[in-house]
Order: sequence, then structure tokens, then C-alpha cells
Amino acid sequence: MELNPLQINHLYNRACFGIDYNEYLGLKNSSDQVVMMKLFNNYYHKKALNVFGASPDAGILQKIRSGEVTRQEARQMIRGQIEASRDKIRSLNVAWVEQMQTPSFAGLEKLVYFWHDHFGVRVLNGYHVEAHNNTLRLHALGNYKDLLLAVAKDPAMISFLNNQQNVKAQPNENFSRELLELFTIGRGNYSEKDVKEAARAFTGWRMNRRTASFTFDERNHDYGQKEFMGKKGKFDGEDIIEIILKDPRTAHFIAAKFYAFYVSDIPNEKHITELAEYYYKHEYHTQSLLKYMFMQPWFYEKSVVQSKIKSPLELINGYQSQLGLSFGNKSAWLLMQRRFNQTMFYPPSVAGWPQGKEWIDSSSLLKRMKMPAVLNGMSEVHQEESPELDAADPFKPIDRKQTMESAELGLWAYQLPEGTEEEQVYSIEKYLFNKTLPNELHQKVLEGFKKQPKHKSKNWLFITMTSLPEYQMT
Amino acid sequence: MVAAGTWLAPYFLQAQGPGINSFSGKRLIVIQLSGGNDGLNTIVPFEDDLYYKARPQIGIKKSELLKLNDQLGFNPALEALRPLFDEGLVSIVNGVGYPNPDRSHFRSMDIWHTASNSNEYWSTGWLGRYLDAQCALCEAPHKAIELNNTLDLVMKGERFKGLAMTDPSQLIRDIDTGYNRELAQLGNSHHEHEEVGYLYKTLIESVNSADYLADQLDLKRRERINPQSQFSNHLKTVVQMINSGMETSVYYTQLGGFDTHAQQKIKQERLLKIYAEGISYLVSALKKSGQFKDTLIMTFSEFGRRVNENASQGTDHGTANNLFLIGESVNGGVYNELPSLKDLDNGDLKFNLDFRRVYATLMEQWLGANSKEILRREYQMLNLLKV
Repeated sequence: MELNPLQINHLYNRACFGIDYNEYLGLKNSSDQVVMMKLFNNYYHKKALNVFGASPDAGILQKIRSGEVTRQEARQMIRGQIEASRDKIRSLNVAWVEQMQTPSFAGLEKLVYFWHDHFGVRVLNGYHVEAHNNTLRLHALGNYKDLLLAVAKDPAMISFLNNQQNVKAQPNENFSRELLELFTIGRGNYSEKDVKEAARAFTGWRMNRRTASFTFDERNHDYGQKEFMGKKGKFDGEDIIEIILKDPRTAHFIAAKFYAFYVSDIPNEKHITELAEYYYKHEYHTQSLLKYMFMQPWFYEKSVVQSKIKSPLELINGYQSQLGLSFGNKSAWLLMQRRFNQTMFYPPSVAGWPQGKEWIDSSSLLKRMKMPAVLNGMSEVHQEESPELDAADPFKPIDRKQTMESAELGLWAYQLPEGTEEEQVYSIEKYLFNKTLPNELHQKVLEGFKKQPKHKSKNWLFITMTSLPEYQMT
Repeated sequence: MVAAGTWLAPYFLQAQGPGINSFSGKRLIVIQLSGGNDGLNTIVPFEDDLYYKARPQIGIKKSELLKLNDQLGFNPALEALRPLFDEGLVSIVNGVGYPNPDRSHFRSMDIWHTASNSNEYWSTGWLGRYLDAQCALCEAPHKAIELNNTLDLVMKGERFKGLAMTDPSQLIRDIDTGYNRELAQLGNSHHEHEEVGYLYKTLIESVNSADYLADQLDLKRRERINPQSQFSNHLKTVVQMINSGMETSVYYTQLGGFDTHAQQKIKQERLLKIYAEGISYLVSALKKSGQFKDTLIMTFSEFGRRVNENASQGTDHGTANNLFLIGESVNGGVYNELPSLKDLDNGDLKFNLDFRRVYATLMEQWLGANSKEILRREYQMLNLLKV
């Protein structure tokens, strides 16, 4: 299959966070094999986040043993370290977003964002947050089973879904329930008994607080007979994961999530089934699935292009790639996320973020339509301190105005292609929307463009177009 | 592919004024105390030794309390609420919660917002679903208004969403910047994707709501109330909207900062004072304009706090809590008994009343809506209102 520049642009909007304007201008028709090779070569650039490093309590238990501090003092020290780590999550957040915005990392990081949304982990211990994010990255492209197992053993997950408290004497079902409902097979495909039996199988999967790593606590593990999804045996957690992944309905559930994330807000059962079968046959190998998906002719159909409402993260990273947005004060990337109500590492629940239309209401739409002009310095951000909801607003207030004012757009380095004004407008429409705008709207934009003084017209065109409802789509 | 022109037209045609809708004349104001208000130090069981035993440092002395009956007393910071209670306008509902309580702020708030069970994740809120059920012909989101920068889940329905704003003048200015109006005019042209149609529909509705607000409100009139706080400013805006005759059924606002893990006393009492004085202002302003009889105010928090105080003179996250209903139609007084301080669930109160029964009662008996459809389950009514 031959891909034209618009199709390649579409692919990069979906697989990554869009493509830089100058790079777009250089695109030529290419075979899909060549395009995929370039895209997937980048997936091998893997860089773990490293803001935190070792676990917070390392060393403290040692001090207790040696009698240097009392238990009470140690507890306070640990609390202090975790408090401090909350603030540091800000740096971690910005480091990750910057990594997403680096073209050679963008494809992999978008996938890591998918998994972050999928597992919906939200904990306050920054060390665990970083380790969890690195786990997602390490296994993002490989087999889902490896990822799932690693996540089940992640201290972040163990504390988030209470597996630390899941012991033989008193099983805690939180993890096993979400495993079935949200991470694998989906509602309606299992019974309450399956949840209970799976919980027993995961008893004793705990973390060692000192090393912040997984430990299997034999004494608290239930070695007895279990009955799970119609099978009997002395199952442990790994067996449970194996059994659920053997069920093709799990492949279907995950494929539908991939479809919603990469393809369209509106499910297409035929295409989802196709993806599910492929995923299942290839032992849940995610990289193979992505490649297969990106090479289907339907991925480039009219019904798919510009059919998804951007999440705030996609919108913000789109400003970066398409308007060349940068900030002198990098905390602004955090403010942008908070302003649009999607902050990495703070998903609203284990079910992840809203999607599609759920992102849009009057106030969020108006904010989106105003932002490009704000960034361009045309109007000021109206900021009101939002009410403190303790940890819901986990970041200390920073000087928002000053931070936002450090915005800079890269438009000055853009050159409109040669041609009539109408041709220029068309060409930017294609870059930003992968097609031309409806005629009536196109005419309005053209009219306005012609009226602008020459030195302002280029910025005006980009700012106006990125303020349109159409720009909220990808 | 939907030819959006046809289905957008009705919204667009109604751009002038309120049009047809189902405004019953009754309105509900919801006040969310965010962070988990400590109910036990709000309504204090001063005859229970267990209370003072659990709270040697932060327990409030009997002599300081504003006694409501021979068992319970208001935190002294609620002084401004006292006259309303004496008039029979306040109903105190104790031990409100839900099965398998979650002690995380977000999760528990989600449960209160969606009215789901604690093991369910719903993507719509109960007031959003109220809009869905009532608003077949609604033309704009100002049917339900949240005083906030972002619209919370509670206000999002399947098809309809409420309007979030902090200041009507700002909303009107926002609509008038850029090309919002021109784009709204183009809204009924053809859209290739349904989702784009949805964006234009939302834009048109926002323009309609802003126009409606500009029409209704005298934005130059500025009433001063004291003390000035964000909360009191929001209540002032609510009063302004109600008194202008706006056909809004639900107002939603919040007061945050109740997560008092340390040095609770100062923090909580400061907030309770802001709350009580805000309510006192709200009630008197609505009484003056004759709108109070059609207004019901509900106050809740996502959870109560642990019975035992902690080592930092604060309290940790707990479960069941009290809830206030205020209005001329409530059966004033203390509605039910406080849960036992002896029979606890891991140090927390056991709930004796499901909050969704309160929602169901308000839906059926106040807003005249079908609670089963909105809450997705049937809940037994409570005897909260004079019917």
C-alpha cells in the first residue's frame, strides 16, 4: 500500500502526537513498509524516567535495627520522604511529557500513555509512581502477559489496589476484581465467585517496603484448591492470568480499547474482531498488533480520519508539535494539563480518564478554543484559584501567570508554501485537519486571512485554525 | 455518518430565550464540603463518654457547644446556622454513607457523584442523568449550573451536561472573544463526523446560555457581602441568578479544605464558619425575594473522619457522615440517631442510611423526577420533606 503525505500525517497524529510543520512539508509518497520501518525503528529508543531512583525507606529500617532511630522516628522520616516525593512527582510529570514530545520517543511514549490510562494507577509515593511508569515502558511493546504480570507485582499497583492487605486469612478482592473488570476480560464475562477465587490466588503477592520490590509472602498465601472460570486447581496468581488470557474474550476486550485509543471513538465491530483475532493469534504481542493496525486500509478511511476527540494530553502535545509551543518555565506543561483537567499520574480512577465526548462540555470547549490565542499573547488567561481538594489538587500553587507567560510559539520559523492565498489556506487546512474544511468555514477563514496585515497573517492563520472545533479532533 | 444539519437545527432555532422546557419552579442547591468534613466535630454527641475518650485533644467541650437537643450540639463555629435550626428550616441526617465504603477522596467523591455502588465505575453523574431524564427539550446547559472552573462528573449526563462557570460576566466575555459567535452561526452546516457535530452543538448551547445569562442578569449590580471568600462569592452569584428568575433547577458549589489530618480544630472551625455564614446569607437573601420556599439546599461531604483522633490533633479518613437539608419544606430537626460510637467498623462509624435514598427522595418529592431511572436502582423514600 502506498501512503501519501496526508495519510502519513494521519498516522503520526495517531501513533505519536503529530508531526512538525517543516517535516510535514518534506513528506513524500512512500510504501507503507518503508513508513512503518521508520516509525517502528523509533520504538527501540527506550529511556526510563529517572527522577527518583531508589526506594524512600531504603536505609531507614537499617537504622531501626541498629538502634539509631526509634520506630516512631523512623515512621516520621518515611512520611517526610513521601511528602517530599509528592512535590517531585511534578518534575517526573514534566520529564515524561517532554519525552513524549521528543520525536524519536513519541511513538513508544504514546503507547505508555495508553497503558497508564489502562491501568489507572494513582499513588502518592513518587518512587512507586516512577517505577510503575518504567514497568509500563519496559513491557509496552511486548506480550501483554509479561506486562500484566509485571504490573501485578508492581509496588504501585500492590498498594493502589490493596494487594498488600490480600492475605489468606482475609482476602482482599480489590485487585482481582479490577483485573477481571478493567484489565482483561471486561464486565459480564465472569462471576462474583471468579473474583473471590482469583483474590485467593493472589494472596501473599506483596511488596517489601524496605526494597520497594515484589515479595511472595508464603505464610499468607492460600495454597488451597480454587475454582476459577470453570477450571479447578491449586492456582496462584500467574495461573489466573494465564487462564484469563487463554480466553479470546480478553483479546477482544483489549483490542476494543486499542481501537478506541488509536482508531475511532465510534466502535466498528468488524475491525475490532479482526484486531482481536490477530492479537490472540500472536500471543498478545502488542508491537505486532500496532503494526498490523497501522497497515490496514481501513485505518486511513474517511470515516476514521479526524473522527476522534483529542484528549487534553493529545491537544497539548499537538500544540507542541504543530505550533512549536515551548515554555521557558517548564512547569507550564503541568499547568496546561491541569487547566484541561488531565494530569499524568493522577487519573480520576482505576478506570482511567474519560474519552471522546466525555471530555467536552461548555467550559472545557471554550477553554480549548481560547488557548491558542492565549498562547499567542492575544489575550490573558483568566485564572481563578480552584478550591483546594487536598490531594485532588496535589500540586502546590505556583505563579501561574508568570509561568504561562513564558510560552513561545515556533511559528516564526514556519513558511507558508508558495501560491495564492487560497492555496495557502488549503495547505494549512490539510496539515492541521488532514483534509480541507467545509466550504463555508473555509471561505470565512480565507476572508479573514486576506484582511490581516502581512506580518501578522501567518500567525493569525495558525491560531485561528487551531482554535476551531475541528482542531479538537484528530 | 450523520447529516448534522437536521439534528442541530432545533437547538439552533431556540437560540432566543428559554423556549420550551420542564422547569418545575423548584430548585436544588448542592453544597459539597470537599476533603471529608469531620462530622463528629460538626454535630457533637456531648452525652457520649466514648466521644471524649476518642478525642481527648480535639473533642469539643459540652459548655462550648450550641445544644440542639439533649444529646447533640452544633460546633460553635456554626453559630450562624443556629437560628435557622431553631426555625425548623434545617434537617440533620446522621450516619449517611454506603456499603463497603472507600476511604480515598477521589473514589468516594466519585461514588457520591455517580451514585454507583463502591465497586462500580460509572461515567455519568446523578445530576447529569437528571438532565437527561428531564431535558428532552432543553436547549442549553444552564438548566444545571456548577460554580467551578471545570464541570464535575456529577453534572455530566449521557446526553446533557450542566454548565460550569465561576462568573457570568467572564462567561459572556469568553463567548464574545475570538470567533465563537460566527462559528456557532455556521453550526448547522454539514459535519462529516458525528463528534464534530457534537462540538458545534456544545458551542451553540454555550452561546445560548451566555446570551440567556446576559439577558437575565443585571451584571452591573454588585452586592457586597461579608466576609469575602470564594465560597461567599459563588453563593452571591447563585442568589443573583435565582432572583433574576432564571429557570435553573440545580446549582452546585463547593467549599474545600476539610481534609484535616493535623491541627484540625482551627482549620475546621474556620471553614464551618464560612459555611454557616454563607448559608445564613443565602437563606436571608432568598427569603427577601420570596424565592426561598422553592429552594432546597443539601450539604454533604465525601466521607466523615475516623472516630479516634490521631497524634497530630487531627483525624484520618473515615466513613459515614452527617448531611444537612435546608429549606421550608424539610422536616426540621434531627432526623435520625447518630451511629453508635461503640459498634465500629475498623475504627469508623457504620452507616445507617444510604445516601442514595436521600437522592431518590429529593428527585421524587422535590424535583418531581423518576428516581429509578436516574439512580438506576430503586431506593426506598425517606421521610425528609413535608409532602
